[in-house]
Amino acid sequence: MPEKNRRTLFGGRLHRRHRGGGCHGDSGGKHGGDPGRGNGPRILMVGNPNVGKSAIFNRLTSSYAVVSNYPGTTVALTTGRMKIAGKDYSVVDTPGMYSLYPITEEERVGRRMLLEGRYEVVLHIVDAKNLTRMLPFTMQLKEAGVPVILVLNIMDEAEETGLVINVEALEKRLEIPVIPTVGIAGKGVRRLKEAIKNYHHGNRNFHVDFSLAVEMASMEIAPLLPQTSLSRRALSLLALQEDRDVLELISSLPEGEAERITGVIDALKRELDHPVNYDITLGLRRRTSQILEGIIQKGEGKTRIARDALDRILISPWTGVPILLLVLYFGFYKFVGGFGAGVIVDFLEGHIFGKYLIPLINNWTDRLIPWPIIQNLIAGDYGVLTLGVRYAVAIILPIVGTFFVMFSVVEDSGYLPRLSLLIDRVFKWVGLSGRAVIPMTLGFGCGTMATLVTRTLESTRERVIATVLLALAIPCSAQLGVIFALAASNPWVLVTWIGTVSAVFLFIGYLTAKIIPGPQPDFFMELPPLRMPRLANVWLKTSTRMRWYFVEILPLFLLASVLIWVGNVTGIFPVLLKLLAVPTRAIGLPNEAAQAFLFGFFRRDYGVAGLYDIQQKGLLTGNQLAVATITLTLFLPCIAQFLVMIKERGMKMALGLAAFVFPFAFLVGGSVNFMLNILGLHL
Amino acid sequence: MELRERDQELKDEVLEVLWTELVEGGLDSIDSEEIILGEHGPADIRILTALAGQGMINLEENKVALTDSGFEEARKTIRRHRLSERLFHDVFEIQHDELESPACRFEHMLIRPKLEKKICELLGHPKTCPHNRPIPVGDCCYRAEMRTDKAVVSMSKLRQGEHGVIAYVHTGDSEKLKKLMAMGILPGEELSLERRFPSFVFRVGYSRFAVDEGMAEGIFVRRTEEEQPGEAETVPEEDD
Repeated sequence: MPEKNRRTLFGGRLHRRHRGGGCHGDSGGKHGGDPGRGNGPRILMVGNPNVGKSAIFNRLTSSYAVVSNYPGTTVALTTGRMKIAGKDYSVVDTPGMYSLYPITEEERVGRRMLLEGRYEVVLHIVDAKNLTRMLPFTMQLKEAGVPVILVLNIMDEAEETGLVINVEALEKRLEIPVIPTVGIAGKGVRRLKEAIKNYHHGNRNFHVDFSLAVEMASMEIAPLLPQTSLSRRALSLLALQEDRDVLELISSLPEGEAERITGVIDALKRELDHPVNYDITLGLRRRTSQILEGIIQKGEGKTRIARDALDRILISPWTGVPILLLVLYFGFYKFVGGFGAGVIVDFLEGHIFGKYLIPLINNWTDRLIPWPIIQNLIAGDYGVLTLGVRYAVAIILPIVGTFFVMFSVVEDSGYLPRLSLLIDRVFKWVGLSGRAVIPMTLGFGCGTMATLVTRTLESTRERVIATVLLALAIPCSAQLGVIFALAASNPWVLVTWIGTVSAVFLFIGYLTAKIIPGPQPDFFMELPPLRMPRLANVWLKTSTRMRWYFVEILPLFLLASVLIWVGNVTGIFPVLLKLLAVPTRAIGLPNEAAQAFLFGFFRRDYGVAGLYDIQQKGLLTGNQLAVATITLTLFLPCIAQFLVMIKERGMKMALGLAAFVFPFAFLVGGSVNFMLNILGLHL
Repeated sequence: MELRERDQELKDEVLEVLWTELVEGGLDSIDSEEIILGEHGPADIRILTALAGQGMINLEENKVALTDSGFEEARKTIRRHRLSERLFHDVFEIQHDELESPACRFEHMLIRPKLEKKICELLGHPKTCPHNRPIPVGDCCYRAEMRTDKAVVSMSKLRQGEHGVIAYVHTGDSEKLKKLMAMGILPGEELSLERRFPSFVFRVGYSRFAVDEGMAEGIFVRRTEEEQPGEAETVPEEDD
């Protein structure tokens, strides 16, 4: 398995770096980490996507998972510490899972934790207003002999819709603690902590009846299965549904037994002409309605006329598309481009750094350090402080920061799922589904983060396509900010740039979708209710993402400065620059642009920021500016994104993509230059 | 009475054989020997002459052919037979090789047109029997096709704003089925369709979902709108 090798090669290092960052949850755990080691008993949180698990997690622990209003944003395990009455616990939040039987890769992550055991209590978090739909999973957990507490979260919304749930009666029938909560407000959390502290694993004999055929098959194979933390009964049902992990477990059994089990599974499949899963789901549903008999009362709910109207406007293409354009214009162009890349960058870069810090640093290094080589490392044109820190703090940080603020507001409001359904048909054309909206829009913020989040996509095919598009045609916010700033005086450059890059997006997406075999993805998504973005959530999301960016990116900036210095000192860079100057001149750009391309690899935005310098010196015409921005956008992603690509997609694919992107970027840039010249256009 | 019922069953069987052999087999007539002694079942001369006496078949020189009214009757009979096969197969989950005998007994219950119609609706106006042979179209199927209401239809055929109860989920692709079921889209749940474009947006319970057309096609819904007066059963119950 090449995937496993990759994990040991790159998993460890990246894993450590992402820990504590929290871009959409920690990327730890899955890649061989042992979340929560040595922090006392472990509490595992499971539940459907978008039921407020992250909010509960944040309330229970002192660490933060990003709370989002978008199904499936926790891509891997998040671990935090919790103290109840002086006793330490570790809490592990898992990606959303609908049932014990995982469908997507991220669900598998959580289920693996359940299989491994080593937890004291499992909290099953459900959306109280959809109890009927989510209780089957509780029963699967009970049947598996898992010590479980049922958390009825989002009680406020349930009450708002007029639902009254008889919690005591439900507790008695299920024989487990049932705790109503409102996660984002912290209601019920104290009771939940008490329930965890006082938990006794009571009656383990819980049995759901399924169709005769399934029962017979289950009884036949259960005794043959190995002892795990899940009951043999539960394991047998998973085996009958041909669960990948359980089948793997079975394949390690002595030969005769494994064959006997697969024989029973095949016989059952032949006997039923629908999936086994269907029988099992229906059985669970039947038991659910028995248990909920008389528990839920339906009263009159509040109507939310304004919210419903807004919802309709957002999902209708006639009004939804104009609104999307408005969001893009104000959110991106005005707020990120104008305010972030304009006002704040001008202030920090022009005033703080340009007027005060840079002269000061240059001055002090000249005075204190006698060796020019070391002087150049610290200050001067490519110094760690004057280039690395200046770019990171004065140019990139305000841009990425404003993007994250905007993204957090949009995300918390519940707009993104609506955007997904609006754009699904377009994305289908490039082989993706509406679900890819999250990684794609996030890519406009930070491609590195977005490439990690492609894990939420269902098939490998989609993940590959998304990775290609992110690497090639989605500019990150740092690039966007500088491009907006560059093109601010020349709207035609902006138009040419948007047109070309969109065309490349569609063309390459279409082509990749044609080349990579596999079925078209399905689109299905739960639509969470719209809500007013909460300031606390927006702050939390923005700050965790910023922290991640700082921890992740700043060292790379410094490293890049050092590498450039090494390159200059050893004479490698001048050679590379000369080589790169050939295609650069070929597409009609001045030699100085080659420098932007080369440094662009160390940070994509680095390159654009380099262009910014060149333009400030007045070295670029409108045409050249358009060609340069297009080529740079398409050019190799930054070194961080490249590393994540290797980690997520493998070395072969990352290198292959790099080999394609390099000539392709110049080819497109050259063609645009050629076309502009042929048409006699001067932007 | 016993005898009459048994006779009726035998007549039905003969008609079914004639339908498959003549109509589906594309023949004009068949040797009566084949029906009496051949592999096609236990019919004797008495049944054939009775059928001829009712004007259902023509018996000439040991050749059996269907009359116009016989054709109609055979068509109805084969429809009832194959509908009951579908019912036992789809709803009661009886396997192929055990289908014949319960289906044969049950089809005679369907002589009541109202019941036949209900069953046909329940099954979503199926086009073929479990052995993949065509089920002749009934009145209710025409009506369902013309108006596509009342019957079980795919959600992709619902109009915006329509309500229904999920009858069954069928996608032919078990991964899709699992996804839909995992989201709680299961038989018996009430569903209302809010939008058809650009994606299908619908409500089940207290949750809303968006799916693409491919997945919408796999969700079959029984409409729950008020029955229109003109549409009530008009055919009188017939009883021999």
